[in-house]
Amino acid sequence: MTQVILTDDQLLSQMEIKLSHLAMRWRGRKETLEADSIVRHYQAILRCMVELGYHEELYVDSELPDELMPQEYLDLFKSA
Amino acid sequence: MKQIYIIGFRGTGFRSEPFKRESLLIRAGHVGFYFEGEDDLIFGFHPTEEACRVVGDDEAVIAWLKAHHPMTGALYDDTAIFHRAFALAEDAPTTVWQMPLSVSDEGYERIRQQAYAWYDERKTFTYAFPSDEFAETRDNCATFPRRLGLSLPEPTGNLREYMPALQMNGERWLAKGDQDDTGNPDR
Repeated sequence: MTQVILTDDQLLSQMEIKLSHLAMRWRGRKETLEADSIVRHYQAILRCMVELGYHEELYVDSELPDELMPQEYLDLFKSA
Repeated sequence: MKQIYIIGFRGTGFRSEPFKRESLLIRAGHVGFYFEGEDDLIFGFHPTEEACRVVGDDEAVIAWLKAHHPMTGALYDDTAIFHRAFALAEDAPTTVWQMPLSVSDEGYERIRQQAYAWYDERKTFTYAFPSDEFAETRDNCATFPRRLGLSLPEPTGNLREYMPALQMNGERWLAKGDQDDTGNPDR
């Protein structure tokens, strides 16, 4: 069995793609019971990315509305 | 055979201070298309000025779209937007990429006539950010070319996947007047 080890950059890239899928999923189901669980999933991944050193701005359509974005992400862009 | 080009760039984003005065499309990123030999007119699909005015300023429009509210959109001459993205690319992630699509002479003429007709009559379509629901009746800038029968580098319009696909299948776009005799950027 081959073991694939991702670098941090590769891992963060895969997580970015996952967030873009979750944002699309949330937009398609925001009126359903599933929406809350999508948001929790999204926030957990993005918090983990910030913890791993991610400090970029996501593609605009990969973001949820600001009120659903984790504070750790929003804090990255606060002026000093 | 003739070529039709899909062209696009990643936006500067809405959160970084240096680019806050740029236009909405420069900050959001944009995709358009143009016809062989006619890159002095690059078409782009985006919300109409009237629809934006009803929602508010640029930040309000983006918030509206993130919340998955649709807007009325139309085809515009966005040539200046792509030139601005090209000019910014040294300091921002706005490198402009293009992907050629080969079409028959007959198909080229049919698609060209349709695009110009929609542009001239300012025909409106529904604009929305991509979602995983059934979406035959709504597009963003990246999926709009499908309405003309053009193949997309990525089918959903999710920019995080669309832009790398455009880059992988295409080449860097050089604005007219911005290349030397070898075709390299003259900057």
